[in-house]
Parts: sequence; structure tokens; C-alpha cells
Amino acid sequence: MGLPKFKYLEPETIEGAYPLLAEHKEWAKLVAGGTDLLVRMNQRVVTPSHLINLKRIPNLDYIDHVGNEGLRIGALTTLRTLEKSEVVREKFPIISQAVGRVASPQIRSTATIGGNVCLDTRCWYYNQSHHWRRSLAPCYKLGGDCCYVVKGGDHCFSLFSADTVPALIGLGAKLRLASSGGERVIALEEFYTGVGERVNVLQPGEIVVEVQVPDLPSHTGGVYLKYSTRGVIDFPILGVAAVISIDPGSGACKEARIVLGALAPAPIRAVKAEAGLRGTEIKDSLIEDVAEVARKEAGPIVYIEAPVGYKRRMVRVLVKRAVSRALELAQTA
Amino acid sequence: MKRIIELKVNNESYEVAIEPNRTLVKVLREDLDLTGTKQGCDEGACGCCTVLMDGRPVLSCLVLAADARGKEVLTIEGLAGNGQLHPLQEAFYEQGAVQCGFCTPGMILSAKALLDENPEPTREDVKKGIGGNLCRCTGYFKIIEAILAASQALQEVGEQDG
Amino acid sequence: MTEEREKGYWLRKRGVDSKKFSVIGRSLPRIDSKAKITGEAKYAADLKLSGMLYGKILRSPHAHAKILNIDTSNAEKVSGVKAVVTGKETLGVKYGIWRLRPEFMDEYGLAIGKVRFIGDEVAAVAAVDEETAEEALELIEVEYEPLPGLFDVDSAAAEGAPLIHEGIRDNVSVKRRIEVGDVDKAWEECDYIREDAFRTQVVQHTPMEPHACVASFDFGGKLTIWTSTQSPYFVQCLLAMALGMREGDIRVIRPYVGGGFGCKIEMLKHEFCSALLSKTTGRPVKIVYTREEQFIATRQKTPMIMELKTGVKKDGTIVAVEFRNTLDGGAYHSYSVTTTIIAGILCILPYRVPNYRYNGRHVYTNKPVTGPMRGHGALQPMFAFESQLDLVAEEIGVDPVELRLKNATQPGEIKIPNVAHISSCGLSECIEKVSQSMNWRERGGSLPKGRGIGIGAYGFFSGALYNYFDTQLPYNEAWVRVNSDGSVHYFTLASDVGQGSDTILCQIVAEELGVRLEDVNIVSSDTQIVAGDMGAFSSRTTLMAGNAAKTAAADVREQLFKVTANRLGLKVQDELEARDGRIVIKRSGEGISLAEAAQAYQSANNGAPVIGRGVYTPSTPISEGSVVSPTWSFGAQMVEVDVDRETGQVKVLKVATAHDCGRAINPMAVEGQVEGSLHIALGYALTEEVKMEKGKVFNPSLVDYKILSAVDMPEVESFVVETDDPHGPFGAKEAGEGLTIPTAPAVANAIYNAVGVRIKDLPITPDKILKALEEKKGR
Repeated sequence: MGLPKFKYLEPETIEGAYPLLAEHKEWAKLVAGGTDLLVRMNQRVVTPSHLINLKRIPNLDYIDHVGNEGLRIGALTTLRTLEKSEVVREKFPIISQAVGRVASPQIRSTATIGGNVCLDTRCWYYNQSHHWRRSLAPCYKLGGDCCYVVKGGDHCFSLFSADTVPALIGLGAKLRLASSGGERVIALEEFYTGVGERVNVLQPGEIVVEVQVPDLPSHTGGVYLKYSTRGVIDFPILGVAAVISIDPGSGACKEARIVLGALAPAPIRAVKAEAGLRGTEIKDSLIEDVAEVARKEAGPIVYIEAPVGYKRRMVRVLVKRAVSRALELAQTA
Repeated sequence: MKRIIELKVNNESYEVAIEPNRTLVKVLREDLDLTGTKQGCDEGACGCCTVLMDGRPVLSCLVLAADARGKEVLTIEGLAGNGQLHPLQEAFYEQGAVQCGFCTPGMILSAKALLDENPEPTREDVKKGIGGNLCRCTGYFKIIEAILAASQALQEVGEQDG
Repeated sequence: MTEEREKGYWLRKRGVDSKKFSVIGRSLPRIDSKAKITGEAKYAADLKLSGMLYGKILRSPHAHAKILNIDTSNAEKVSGVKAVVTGKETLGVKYGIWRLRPEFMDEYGLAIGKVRFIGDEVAAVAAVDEETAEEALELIEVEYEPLPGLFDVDSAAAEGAPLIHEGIRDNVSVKRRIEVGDVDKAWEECDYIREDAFRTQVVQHTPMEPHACVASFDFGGKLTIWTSTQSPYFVQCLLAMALGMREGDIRVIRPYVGGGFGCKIEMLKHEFCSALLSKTTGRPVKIVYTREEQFIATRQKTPMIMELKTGVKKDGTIVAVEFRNTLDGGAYHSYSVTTTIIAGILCILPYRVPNYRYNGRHVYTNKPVTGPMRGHGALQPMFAFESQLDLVAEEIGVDPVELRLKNATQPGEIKIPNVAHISSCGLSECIEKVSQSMNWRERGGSLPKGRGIGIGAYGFFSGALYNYFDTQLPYNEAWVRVNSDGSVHYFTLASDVGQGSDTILCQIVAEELGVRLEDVNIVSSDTQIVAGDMGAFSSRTTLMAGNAAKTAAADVREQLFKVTANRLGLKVQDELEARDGRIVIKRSGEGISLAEAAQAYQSANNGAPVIGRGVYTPSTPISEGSVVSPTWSFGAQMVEVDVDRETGQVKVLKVATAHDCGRAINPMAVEGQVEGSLHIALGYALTEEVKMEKGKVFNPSLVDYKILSAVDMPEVESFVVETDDPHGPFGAKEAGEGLTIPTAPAVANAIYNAVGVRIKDLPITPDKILKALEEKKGR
């Protein structure tokens, strides 16, 4: 089909990008790897008048881990670089694991971590060509007033499908956002609105410049389990990250995070399930219970890719498996 | 508005005047007549348009041509040198790894990126390395055999040279 | 290719001595692969002609609607637009692949009066580039009056349902029946009878190369079209019909084709529209389908709703089978009458079924068009029958492998009188082979928890004989010319669409002439050169084109023998043979080179080159009673799976296949087919489904339609059982389509073996397994 026409703006500094964003506002889109945006443009899901290329901006492609200040990942770091990074593999294997499950080797060579956290939501009715959509009135996400996934639904039920994000939220990652007015740091978890029409809180003029991951306490284990039909290419039907820290002495769980991806317009923290783990020595029966709690916490599930009832069951199974595995890793760490 | 960009493809420099919305695959195929790079989906799923950019496999349907400036692009046409097939090409030929041939250029380039990085891959490594290249004809079996055979051949060449 | 490899993989059978051949029976690399590995090979989308325009097609957004008005005036005004055409600009004639029976021809080049599915072609634009053509499409205004859509066979075939095609009552376009023996009486002889219902889904062929073509009219009003097709001949004829031209004034050239699997057999709308646009503009017009168009606007595999009743004796002997089948055909007919009838035939091909009744009907629905796909008409019924046989085996306590061996078709049998007579059949051996490979008899009962093994058997055509296309031409024609330098030119219209037939056919010619494979140059798939080949489908090419090639090569050889005999002053008892590029006296080895023989022929004939001709028209098998196919391939497959009881996910661990292809002309190529067919077949069993709601396809993309990647494929082991068929060239039969049949039932049977749940509708997705497991637990 070919991409729609746009003007390509290529600031060479981050400061150079701000006025462009200010000038073109919502008509402009930031682009880094472009592996998701260009597909959407091809389909005319988005048709920005300007693309602001971030890739010419130096010093945004780095992976730093100094002392005990945690991990800092420049937003322009490709997923491949992240996947292969020795320090990440060693200190944050869950990140390498989750990144390694994104799409395909080719996509990972191009896509960036900044792009992946800013991924737009998806659904069967929205991510289609304009020819395909011609036979349907626009949905909420396209500025219309209906949802096809949930008939009669009063908002957009598209899904947030980035593989890296559940893992990063599990690790308590933060984002550094920059704009002409200065910088701010927010928890990655807070970055997502849960609203399909407006996926994240990035303000006009703001750019994600860094992902920050705090160092983990000792005896922490983390795992990301992706459920998809194929071993590559696919977006997740469900992604579950579990990160668990235990007290080596008592064996009790000090901290637990369980994050569910691809079920809603934002990743979901299963906070009640987490609370069920904290402070106790985790036994198999507890894991079963906690998995059931997580299943209930998952909220309304929609029929995209797999039937609702099935997905709900898979939440339980994957949470159970992820918690078991994370615990095992914590115990052997 | 068109602008002139310089591309380096298969060790040759080209100047092309293009609109910014032109993807690398279109410029390769339409402007440079390098039609060995195939287009199977235009949505980053099939892998047919895989080329190497600075040695890394990328989907040329999802790369703006403008972003290839200053990079070394390798397409299937640039793989054989001085009338000599690359060991991967030899292996694909010998092992019967080619059927309809439409996935072949992208498949070979993904395999090259894999072997450049990991000269002695296991079968599992190979499967992962070509995971982003779909093939409807072969079931991948002979392709995997060919890549393993090429890996061995390259090792032997390396030993002789060394 | 090492000799070791050639030997290692192949099971040699029944005294077939490959040693006596020099070119066939060898795993030679394909003659087209160098062009493909270097990027040299040009596919239709790679072609560029000077002055070429780009075409785009406007499609219906409605599943069923009247077209009230089309206004193209705004589109025509766009700068760079050279032509806009609609149904009005066509002749308004209907065409279809079943030329013999006009009632089955139901397609217009562009819609006239109404549209019948989302994607139906309404208008087409030619412009200086794709972007401009796209822009113009948006400006075409079509006024529709929506009609009620019919999306399943029940509502479509209900009384009083709106008609999708005028005059087709109840939207049932085909009804076919087969009756063998006395089914009603036979039930009384059965010790055990069971009935089951099965369903299969819509899948798409998904060749990696989307459909593409370039059409070019010249000033003399003649048309040349380069197109990615499995049948240049069909494209030529159907274009002629739709454009009102003589077939001979249309030249179809097939560049390299990036896979077809059945969705490139017929003339499709891009071919018609590019030709019409070229005629209108006087310039070449290229149309390349997007992946989405490839999914919705070409062909899909026909889903079937099947009821099957089988009766057996206590010992497992099959007594009677009754099969009621409804095909959900989509908006147009395509090959549906064929699909309807062959589903009935192929269902019982692998087994002796003395009493058999089949009732099949094809129903129109407002969905994309279904048509033939690799394993045409066979995957659906064989999923049903092979699944049911396992159910039967369990109920009567007979091992599923033994049950199949007991009933397996044998050579010389008449399956269906005047329809299917079996000249060669290695099925029993194939079953034994895969059973040994999986070590079924030892391991079958003692697999670890969650593991299971299942079997499926199959039989398939080697070329369909029925002349539904109403052609005057032979099924294949070949010319072979030996040049004065000893090189050989072989002319054919047979289509290599990736399966490797060019190589196989050249091997046959080379063998017959005693030359090397590289001495033979093939000129294929240009309708202007040699006519007579229906195309690459029905697994016909090796057998039909192979027989013609062999005859043509033998013809030229005999002519060269004559001049050689004169030259050598041959004695009456001397016999000549062609080997190593020479024609020699068998007894003494004395002789002349092929080049010298060709020169001698030319000297004696005013310079005329020596040309041999061959045709294949299968009269013999027809007189023997087999009107559907000259011969049949057979095989069996076993699949081992691991089922995750918590998620319902199936991991296919290993697949063993044994295929009777008569003789393997090129074992490596056969192996490529055996292995490669698993890709389509496993997807069919487990992951592939074109998902639709009210005729709208949700997943017309390779992200959302799940064809398997390299990481998803199991281990394979493949065996070729050679049976030396009397009808095939050097004894060869098909080796491509039949292979896709056994996988779905073998997987279903393996899953049952693993966890005890029976899934009767494809694809076998994890949610179905989990649901069945829960229901089982609840019982």
C-alpha cells in the first residue's frame, strides 16, 4: 500500500525536538524504531503530517549500570542491544527474557525500548487497513462512538501488548520524561492510563528519554511468561511477569509483584495476589490460591485472539507458573 | 518534498531523490532495481524483505529509506562476490533448501546475520535466528540443514585461512 | 549431493533398480535454485515495463448489496489517473473454471448489479503510481442498497432465504451422490455402528508471494500478461472469455512463482482488471495484491460440515460408510462442483469400503470465495473419517494401526466402479513403516503422561482426468529439440510454481536422451510456444507433463537413432542406446555423439532441427474405468504430541511420514514435499483459521493468521515407498498434495491418545482441548 505522505523532521538534539513538537502538536508523531508506527501508518490508522525522527539524537542509546544506582537504559536502545547486554542478562535476566520474546530478530534489531513502552494498544477492529475499516463506522479509538470488541461497550477495549512492560513494572521501573519545561520521572506503572483512546500520560511536548530499573534486593527471582500461538512474531495473548524477593533466613516472601499484560489497555498489577504472598513462606497451595485471586483481579476480559473464558483460565495457570518459577529463582539466587 | 539521499548498498553508493514516506524496500526494488528483496506482507510479519543494515537483519518494509543513510546495506544481490556463491548460498543450493524461492533471499540474509554473530549455532539457535522469516514450502527442515551445513563449511574455510 | 545422503534417506522397494538410471532417482539440486538464491529470479511483482501504470481495485464493504450507482467522475479528475473502470466497461459476461457447464460459471470481471461478499470487486483504477491509484479509489462513490447477508449454510439453505445468485434455489448450487454396494442392507451385517459429526474451518493458502501480474495490450489489440499463476492456460482462456477475445491472441507468461497451493489456479480479478485497464489505456498495467487482498479476494479452503456413519465387523472389517457433507462455499462457485464430488471419493480411498453412500451439497454464502487448496477436497473428509476410525477402533478394542492394516486398499482394487481403480498402492507398507518408526507396538501403550501418538492415512489423485474445462488440447504436450551442439531444448507449458517440476521434467528428458541434467534447457510456461497443459494442480505435473516429456524425448531419440543407424551401418541385430551424451551400439559401445547425430539429421533434412513431440492424454486409464485419475498416491503418517493439561497447548514432538509416490524421480525433491507439506498441514490441524464475523475477515495478515514459524516445527522423519506405477513416467506418481491430508486426523488421534479428549472441529486450539478436558472431568 505504501505509507501516507508526511514531512520528516530530524532534530539532532533533544532540545531541537521540543519546538517541533510544540509547533506540530498532535499532528506530529515521534518515531524511533518505527516498527509498529509504520505498520499503523500503512494501514492509515494514524496519518501524522510530520514524523519527528529521534534516531539522530546522540546519547540516548546506552545501558548503564553503575554501583548500586540501578540500571539506566537510554530510550533509543534497540531491543536487540538490550537482549544481548551482559549486564542485563546477569543482573536483570527477566528483562533479557521478556525482550527476547518480542516479535522477531529483525524487529528487535530496529525497535527501541522507548518505542516499546510507548506502544499503542491493539485490537482486531482497529489494527486493520482503511479498506478493511471502510465497512465499519469508526470506533472510540478512531474518534467514533462505538466499540466492536465489546458490543455496546462505552469505551475502548483495545489491548496493551508490549512484552517488555510487565517485566519492567515487575521490577519497579521508572521512566524519565523530558520536555522543554524540564524533566520528570514517573513510575512506569503510572505511565499507563488504562484508557484505550489515550494509552499513556505522555504530555504534548514530552519525550521518553530513559528507563530506570532499581537494583534488586538479594534473593530475588523474576520471570516473564508469554502465552502466544507461535514462538515468534506474535503479540502476546497473555503475558505474565512475576518478581519475588524472599528473606534468605526465614524463606518468607519480602516483596512480590505480579503484572498481567495484554488483557486491557494497560498492564494490570495483581495487587491482591501480591499481598497474599508477602510476609509468608510460599507453599504450593498458597500459589494456587494466589493465582485464583489474580484471575479475579484481571477484570473484564475481552475476546481478542482467544475466547474470554479460556484467557481467564490462562491467567490462573500462568500466574501460578510464573510465581512458582520466580520463587524457585529467588530461592536459588 | 523530495530530497536527495545517499545510500550505500552492496558496497556501492547511490544517490536517490525520494519522498520521506518511501521505505527502504521500495527504494531498493523500484529505484535501484534490486528486486531480489521481496515483499510478502508490508507489515513486518513475513521476513521476505529482510536485508542487513550494518550487519543486522532488518525488515526493509519497516525502515524508512531516509534512515538507511550512513549505513551499509546488504541485499541478496550483494552476497555472492566475484562470481563465487557465499557458502550459505552453496548450502541452500546443495541441500534443496529452496522451493518457490520467495522467502529465500530474506532467509539467507537472516542466516548470515546469525552465523556472523554465532558461527557455531545449535539447531535451536538456527530456528530462533530464522524465526522471523516465514516459509510456506519447505517446513524449514532443509533450510535449517543448509544453515548448519554452511556453518560447518565456513568453519572449515576459517581453519584453512587460519 | 553426497552419495551417502542419497542412500541414507530412502527406502528402496520392490525390485525397483535405480542403478539402471543415470539421472532420475538422484537427488540433484534444482535447476532454478541458483537464480533464487542470488536474487536473480524475477517474479511478477519484480517486472517493470516502460510506460507501466499501477492498478488498484475498489472492493465492496458490504457482504450482500445491490449496486445502485457508481460515480467515478471525481476519481477520474485526479492528476495521474489514466483510467477508471467498472462493470459497465466490461462485456458483462459470466465466466468460470467449469467451462463445460455454464450453470457453474457465475463470476463477472467486475461486479454488475450486486456484490456478494466483502471484497467483491467493484471498480479498478490505473494511475502513474500506486499512491495516485489509491487516492483515486477513495474518490469513487458507490451507492449500495444493503441486502440481508447469509453467513452460514443453514440460513443460506433455509427456505425463503434471499438468493445470492439468481436462479440458484435455496442457494444450493451443487448436489452430488455416490452409491456403492447396498448401504441400507449392509448396516444389518455390522457388529458395531457409530455416527459422528465433524467440522472444518476456513484456511488460506498463504503463498509467500501475493498475487501479482502485469498486462500489456499492443497496438494490434493483442494482449500479453505476465502473471503469478499455476495455470497460464486457464488464465489465457478465461481472459479470452471475459474480454471477448480469441485465446490465441492472448499470451500468458509465467515468471517465477512464489507458491500457489491452489489459490493461483484460476484467472482472478487482478488479471482481469489489469488487462481491462491496459486495454483502456494502451499502456502496461501492473497489479500487486496486498496481503489483505491475498487473504480475502483470491480463494480460501472450503469448510465442510460432515456427518459420518461407519459400520464394522467385530474384527474391525469395515462394512459400510455413509457420509453426508455440506460445503460452505462462499460467494462464487469456483471449483465447488469438483470439491463436492471428490470429497466423496477421497473419503474412502485408503480403505476397502464395500458399501458406501455419499451425499454432498455446496451452498453459497456471503463470504469470500472458497476453492481448491493443496489436498483439494480430501483434508476435510479424511479428518472426519480417520478420526472416526480411531473412535471405532477403541470401541471394538482393535489397535488403530491393525484396524487400518486390515482395511487398507491394495493394488488392483476397484474403489468406486468407473471412478477409482487402483493400479499401484503401497499403503500397507507405509502404515507399517511409520508404525515402526514411532515404535508404536512397543511404546503405544506405555507413553508418559500427556504424551500421545496418532495415525492418519490417505490417498490422492495423480492428475484429475475429468474434462470440466472442455478443452480440445491434450492434457500435456511437449517438444524436445536436440541442437547441433548436443544441447537439448525442452518446451512445455507445465508450471513450476515452486514445487520443482521443472527439475523433475528435465531429469525425465535427460534420462530418456542419455544426457546430463545441465544439458537440458527448459522453456516453460509461455502459452505462445507450446500449448497443452492445464496447469499445476490435482498433482498432475510429474505424471502428465512427465509422460509427455518422456514421449517427446523418446520420439526425438528414435529419429536420431535412425540417422545414427545409417551413419554406423547398423547390422540388423544391433540395438542402439543413448547414454553419456552419445548414441551407441549396445553391444560394442561404438557410436557418435548426440551432437553429431543431430548434425547428421539436419544435413539429411535441409537443415531442419530434429524435434520430438509428445502428448499425454490419459485414454488408457479411462478405458480401464478410472475416470477421475490415472493413478493414485497413498501414504500414512504418525504424529507424537505432548499435551499440556493445564493450558491445552499441544506440542508436536515428532512426525513420521511414509509416502508411496510410485518412483521418486528426485528423492531430495520428494523429501522436500514430504517435509514441506507439514507446514500447511500442521497449521491446518492446530493454528490456522480465517476468522470471520458476518463475512468480515478479522485476521487478513501474517501477524494474526498463524502460519507456523521455524521454532514451531517438530522433528520429522520421512520415508518413500516406491511402487513403480504402470501409468507414471518411470513409474512415478504424485508427491505433493496427498501429503497434507493425514496430519489433522493424526494430530487429533494423538491428542486423544494423550489426554482422552476427542476434538471434532478444526483447528484443534488449546481452548477446545481445555474445555473438553473439563467436560470429561465433570462427567
